[in-house]
Amino acid sequence: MKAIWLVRLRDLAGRMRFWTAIVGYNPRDRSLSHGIYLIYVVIFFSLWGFAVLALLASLGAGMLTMVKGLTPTAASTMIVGAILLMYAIWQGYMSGKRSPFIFSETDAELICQTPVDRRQVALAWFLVDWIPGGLVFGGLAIVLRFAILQLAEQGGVVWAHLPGYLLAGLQVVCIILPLHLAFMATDYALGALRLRGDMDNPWLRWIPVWVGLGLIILAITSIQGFQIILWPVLFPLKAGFGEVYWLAGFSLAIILAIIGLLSLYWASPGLNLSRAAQESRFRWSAQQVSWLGDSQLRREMLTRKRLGVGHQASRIHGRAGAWALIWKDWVTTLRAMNFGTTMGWIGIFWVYLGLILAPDWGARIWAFTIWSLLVSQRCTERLRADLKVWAITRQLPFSGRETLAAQVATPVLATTLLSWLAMGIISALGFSPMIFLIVLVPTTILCITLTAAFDILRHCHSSELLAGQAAELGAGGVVLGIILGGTPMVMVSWILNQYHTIGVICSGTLLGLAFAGGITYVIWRLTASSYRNIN
Amino acid sequence: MAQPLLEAKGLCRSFGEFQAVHTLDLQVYPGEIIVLSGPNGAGKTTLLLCLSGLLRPTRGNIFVEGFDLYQEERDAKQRLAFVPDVPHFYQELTTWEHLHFICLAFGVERGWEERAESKLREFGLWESHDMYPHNLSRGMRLKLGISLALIRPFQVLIMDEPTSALDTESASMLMEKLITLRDNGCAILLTSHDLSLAETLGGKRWRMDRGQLEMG
Repeated sequence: MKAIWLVRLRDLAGRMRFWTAIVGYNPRDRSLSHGIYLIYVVIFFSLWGFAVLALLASLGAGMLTMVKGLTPTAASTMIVGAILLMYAIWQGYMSGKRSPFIFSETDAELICQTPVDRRQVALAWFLVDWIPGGLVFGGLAIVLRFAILQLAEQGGVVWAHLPGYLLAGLQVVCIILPLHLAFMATDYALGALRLRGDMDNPWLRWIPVWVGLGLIILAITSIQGFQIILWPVLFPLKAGFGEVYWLAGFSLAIILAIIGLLSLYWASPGLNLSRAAQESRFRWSAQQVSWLGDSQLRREMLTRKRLGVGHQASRIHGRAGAWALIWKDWVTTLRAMNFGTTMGWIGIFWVYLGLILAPDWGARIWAFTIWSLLVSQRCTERLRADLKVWAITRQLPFSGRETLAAQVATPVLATTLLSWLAMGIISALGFSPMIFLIVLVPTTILCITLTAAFDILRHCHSSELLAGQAAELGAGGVVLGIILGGTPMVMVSWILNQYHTIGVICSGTLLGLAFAGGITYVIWRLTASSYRNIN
Repeated sequence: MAQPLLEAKGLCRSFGEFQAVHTLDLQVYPGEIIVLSGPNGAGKTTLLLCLSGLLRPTRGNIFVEGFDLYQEERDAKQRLAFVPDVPHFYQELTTWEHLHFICLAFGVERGWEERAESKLREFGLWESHDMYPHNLSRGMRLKLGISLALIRPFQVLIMDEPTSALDTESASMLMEKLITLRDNGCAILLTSHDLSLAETLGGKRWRMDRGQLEMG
C-alpha cells in the first residue's frame, strides 16, 4: 500500500517542484539558511495571499450589495452553493463519460498491471486531485466571508480586525473543504462504478444531469422543497458564513465528507485500472504540456483530438490564384470552430459593446485595452497557423504582401462586422453611437492586427518555423497596437468634445480616418517587409 | 550551353559565428539529376533550404530559370518545388484538400481531381484521402509531401532525403518517377546517404563536407 502512496506523493512533489522553483526553494538543500528561507517564503506568501483575498473581498462586497432582496450571508450561501452544485453536476457528468483517474504511461505499466488494492489506488488518486479544486473553493469562500465582514464593519481590513478575519476565514475553509471533498468523492465514485470490469455503462453519466434537471424543476415549482432537499448542503454553508451555529455546520460537512469517501471506497474494489489508464493517457499528456506552459502544443493536441481521423472534402468552392488562400482560410476556420473559438468572437463583441457604453474615460481605456488584446490574438491566429507550415506557405507563388493580406483579411472583416453589429444593437436600443467609431473601426482593427502580426513576424526564425513552431504574440506588439490603434480614436474624440458643429464632426472624423489610414499603411509596409525577410 | 534551371551565385549561410554553407556557386541544368551526399551536419539540408527559398542565405543570389528567387519570387516559385525530409501540414485540411489547395494556388483549376487521384493512387494514399495528415504514418506523410510537390507544374525539384522513410516499393516507384521527370527536362537536386543512388538515377554525385561543396 505504501508503494501506491509513494508514487502518488512523488507525483504531487513533482507538481509542487514547479512552484518551489519559482520561489527559488530547493527541497534538496538541507542547510539552515535554506530552512530559514523556507519559513520566510511561507510567511511572505501567507501575508500576500491574505492581502489578495482581502482586496478581492472589496469586489466581493460590491457584488453582494448588488444582489437585491437577500442578506450578504444568504447571497454568499446562494452563490457558493450554486457554484458547488454546478461543479459537482458537471464533474459527475464528466466522470461518467471518461475516467476521472488520470494515469501516466509509467503508472499504466507499474501500477495498473499489478494486483494492488483498487480502493487504495482510488483513494490516493482522488485525494491528490482534490487539493487544487479544494483550494479554489476555499479561496472563493474566504473572499465572500471577508466581504460579509467588510459590509458588517463598514470599512476595510484594519489591524484590530485581523484576528476576527483570520478566525472567520478558517471557519469557512473548514466547512467548504469537506463539502467540496464530499461532492468530488461522489463524482469519483460514479467514475469508479463506470470503470468496473469490462462493461461500459454510458447511462451512468446521465445521473448527475437528471439530478441537476430535477433540482431546477424543484426550484421553479417549489422553493421550499428545493431548500429542504438541499438543506444538508446549505446548512453547513450558512454556518461557514456565520448565519447559524458553526460547530453544527462543521459536523454536518464532516459527515458528508465521510459519506463521500465511503461511497468511493465502496465503488472502487472492481475498478479496472487498465481501462482507466487507456482512457486517461491523452489527458495525462495534455496535463503535462499545460504544466510545462506550452499552451501552443496543448491547443494543437486538443484540436487534433477534436478533429478525429478524417473528414469529407469541403464543398466550399475555391478559385485559382491568391483566392486559394482565402478558400483554405475558410475551410480551416470552419473546421477549427468550436465552443472556445466561438466564445472568443462573442467576447470581442461584448467588450466592444462595453467600450461604446463605457461611462467615462477610465472604463473606456480598460475596455479598449481588453478589446485590442482579444483582436490581436484572434486576428493573428491564422497567420501563426500558416507560419507553422512554413515549407508549404513559403513555396506558394505569391508575394509576401498577398499572403499576408489573405491571412488577415477574413478575421479583420469578421471583427469589423461584429463591431458594427454591436453599434447597430446600441442604435436599436435607443443610444446613439459616435459616428467616428463606425468610420474608424476598420482601420483601427487592421492597425492592431498588423502591429500584432509585425511583432510575431519579427520574432520568427526560419529554422523554428521549419520545425513547426511559430513565435507567440508578445506584450510589446499588444501595447504598440493599443497605442497606434487608439491614438486616432482619442484624437478625434478630443476634437469632437471641444466642438459640436456638424462641420467639425465631419472634418474631425475624416482627419482621424486619414491619420489612422496613414499609421496603418506604415505598419502594413513594415509587416510585409518583415514577412519577406524572415531570417 | 543551355541556361541553368537552378543557379546559385556567391551563396553562403551562417548561423552566428558558425558557417553552415561556405560561399559557393552552382548550376543545375535541364535533364540533370544531382545527388548530394555527405556526413551528418555537413550543411546539405541548409543548402537545400536556401536554394528552395525557405531559409534566407546570408549572402548570394539564387536564380530559378533565370528568375531571382527573392526579387522575382512569384515567377521563381512557379518553377520550383521542394520536398522537406519531415513535412508539416495544415491541421484542419485532409490529404485530398491539401492537394486541392496546392492545385488552386498554382493555378490548376481544371482537371485537378484526376491529377490528385492519380498521384494518391501512385503513392498508395488513395485509401487515406479523407484523413487528416497527423493521422498518417511518417512514410505516408512524406509521400503526401512528395505528391504536393509533383502535382503542380515545376522545372526544378529539390528533395531532402526523399527515400529515408519510404518502403522499398515506393522508393523504386519514386526513382522511376524522377527518371521520367529528368527525361522531360526537369532539373532535380536531392540529398541521400545512399551512395548508389546517383548511378541508379544516372545522375551526378556531389559531396558536401563541413559546409564546402565538392562537385564531382
